[in-house]
Amino acid sequence: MRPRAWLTAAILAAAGAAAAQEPPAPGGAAATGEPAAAEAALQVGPARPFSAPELFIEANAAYEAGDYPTAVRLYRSLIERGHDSGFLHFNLGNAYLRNGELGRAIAAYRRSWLRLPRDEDVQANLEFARKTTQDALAAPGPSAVTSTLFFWHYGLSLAELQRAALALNALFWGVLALRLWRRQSEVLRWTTFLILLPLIAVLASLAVRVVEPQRVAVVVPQEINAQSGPGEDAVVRFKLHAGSEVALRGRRDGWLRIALPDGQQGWIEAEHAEIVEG
Amino acid sequence: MRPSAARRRIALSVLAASLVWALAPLAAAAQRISVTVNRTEVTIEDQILLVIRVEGASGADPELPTLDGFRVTPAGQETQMSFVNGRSTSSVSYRFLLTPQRTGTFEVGVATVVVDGETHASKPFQIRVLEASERPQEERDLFVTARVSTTTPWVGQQVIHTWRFYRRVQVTDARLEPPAFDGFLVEELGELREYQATVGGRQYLVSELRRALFPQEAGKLAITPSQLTVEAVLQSQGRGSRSLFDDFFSQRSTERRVLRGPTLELEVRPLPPAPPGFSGLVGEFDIGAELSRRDLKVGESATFKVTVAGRGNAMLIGEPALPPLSEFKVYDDRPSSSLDRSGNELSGSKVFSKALVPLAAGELVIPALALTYFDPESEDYRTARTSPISLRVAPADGEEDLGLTESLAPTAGKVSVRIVADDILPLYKELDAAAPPPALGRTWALTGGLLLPPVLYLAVALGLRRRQRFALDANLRRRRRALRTALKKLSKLAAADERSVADLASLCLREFVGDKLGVEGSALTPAEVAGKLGERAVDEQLARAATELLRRLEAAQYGAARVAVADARAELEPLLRKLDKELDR
Repeated sequence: MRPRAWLTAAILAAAGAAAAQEPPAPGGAAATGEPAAAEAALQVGPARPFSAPELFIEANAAYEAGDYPTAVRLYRSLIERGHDSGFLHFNLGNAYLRNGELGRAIAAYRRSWLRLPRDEDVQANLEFARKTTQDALAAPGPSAVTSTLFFWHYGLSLAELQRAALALNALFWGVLALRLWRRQSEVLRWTTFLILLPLIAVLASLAVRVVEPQRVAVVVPQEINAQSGPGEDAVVRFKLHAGSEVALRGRRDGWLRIALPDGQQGWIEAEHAEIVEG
Repeated sequence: MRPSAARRRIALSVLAASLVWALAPLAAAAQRISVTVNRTEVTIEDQILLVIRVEGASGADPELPTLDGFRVTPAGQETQMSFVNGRSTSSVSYRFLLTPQRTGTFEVGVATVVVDGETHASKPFQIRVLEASERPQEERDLFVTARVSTTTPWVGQQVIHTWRFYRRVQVTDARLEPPAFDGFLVEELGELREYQATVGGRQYLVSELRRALFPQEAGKLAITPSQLTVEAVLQSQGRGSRSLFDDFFSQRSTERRVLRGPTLELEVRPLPPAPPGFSGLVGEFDIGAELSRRDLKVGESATFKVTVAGRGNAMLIGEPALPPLSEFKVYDDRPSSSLDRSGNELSGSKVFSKALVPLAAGELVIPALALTYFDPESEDYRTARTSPISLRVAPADGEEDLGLTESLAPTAGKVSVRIVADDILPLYKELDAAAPPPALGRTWALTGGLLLPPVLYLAVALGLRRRQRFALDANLRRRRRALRTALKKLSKLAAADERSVADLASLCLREFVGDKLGVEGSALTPAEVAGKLGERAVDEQLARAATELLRRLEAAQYGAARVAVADARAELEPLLRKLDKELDR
């Protein structure tokens, strides 16, 4: 059998395996099983592992054919193999949205946006998805002033910040080394300072991203309760609906402490939200 | 005049007292917890205020009753304390707004609170939620209607959708979610109109929105209901006669109302098989043609204007097919169009202008133009025609003069771009999306990449410093090069004659020791060498071997004994290496 045919057989087997399973529980429980099912199904067939481009093409084909659950599984399997590109998260967001999973779609678009912060397509689809949410909540994020003042922090992805840090660092020490031979050069002295400033800015930005990243919880089920404390016995303070993005302030025993833009706080079950960090 | 703080407090107290009074009939007496609502029979458009009151249990959180069939929104809480006859009592009221999600009878279950280890429960009761239409429309203070001009339109036919909001009470914060017009092209007809109307003998203020809809496909199409959310102002006044302070004591509270219009279903009919040259227009249209000049010379220009106008999907007016005009040069101008949205329906016109330059003299005729459209009233296709236009063309005086300026209208009508539908942008399909992640993403790679340049810098800086020190310090230079210099001299022994071997070997050893110790080596005696090596704590045996060798070489130098080159090298070379190591230690 040709490799293409093997691949198709494997995907059909995956669909069959998924259909044979019990209906998924509401909320996040269903999603946690998906990648494992996809991986298991993909091992059916030849011994040769499927290449990432093959999986990507198949996922796109499934999407175009309207088989959104399969597209979701394949995109997720690629991401979990380490292919963590913003474009994959973008496609995954599209597949989720077409599959009616608004919360997961918004989470995927947010992840894509973290990796491609200046991509207009990602912003357009994220805005489109946000328009269909029920709660009138502003998404957590910096103010216009903050994002203008710290444009490099919000306008560059983590990978771009890392590349900028490496380049500026190499340049800084290179110029410093040149000064060992030309100690009296004023040009080199000013160049050192000029490089040092952006280097400090970029390193500080990297440190913030690593030590204290922005954490956002995106609500997955159609409606959930936000309670006054973790545990079933607490009073319901307010309700949230699919796709609502709220700031994540802490976790405890399978519960997430979340905050609304006006400062109101509540606890939601961790399995009811997708967490996006960055 | 601004009300004083005291008056505000009085006003608030009166409000609180009247609220408690209003809710009192539903409250269960002598209970630690009670659940009350302001209404037990509502329509799907209303909201209910639910208050859970817990008495004498500060800090005890009540457990909410089951509220199936409602969306619950917290609306704050308040604490009340009172001192009567030296006894203090306190209570906490938790307020919630309930928005009905469907019609039916729903039970508000038991709310519980634990006080002093004892569980107190409220009494359950029922709330009845009615369809909005179950209350006669004429009796309602607020209602919404939606109508279409026809429910069986043809594809492309103009359907007028009229949405009206009737109100008898003041409203604020109105938010309208318009209906979804899936399957239609939509054109707004004018701004929001407001007027007064009488329904069932009651006077209403009416807000009206009109839209022209054009169905794009045959079959059943549904227009989902609009949803209008408003805060209805409820005016209630304090008891007693009206006075100067009435304005301060009159209470303005609002109630949120969600008004939904009906779902409208349309059966869209497909157009009958189209005749050739069908323009795609549906409605009532006409076509006209005019020429600016009927008498002209060869080479002169005249403006030929074709106007298509009418009621219906006028935004789709296209250029009518011109008959072949082989006797003219034709120069197209930009068409101008106008749409009239201000009336009760959409109408519009489009003017196509051309400059015609006759190429030959004589009687010329511009043939008639035809426009075929579908007329929904007669339920058939119709063709409107222009009359043929004849013109007289005289021979040219001289060279051809293309007077085009006549035809170029300075203002061509522009139509603003309207977004009629929205969707997500498509997938990213480039294979680089599935490329393996860069090594940079790993912590060790980043840390290594950041640390490597400073490490290299330190290495270069230290190397440079060492080189400078070496260049400036002659003693250091001698010390470092001592072994190399000595071995070089030793290698030259082979070329020396037998008598001078001992002399050279002795000098080599003494100069080596001198270089290493920073003194003039050629003048050192064996005793001095022994002393210097002793000062540097060189291994005693090694120092003795060096001294002994020097003595023997001196003996050979000044006596009759001879030293073979091979012997000198064999003995001196390992000795030099050992001394070098020992002195560097």
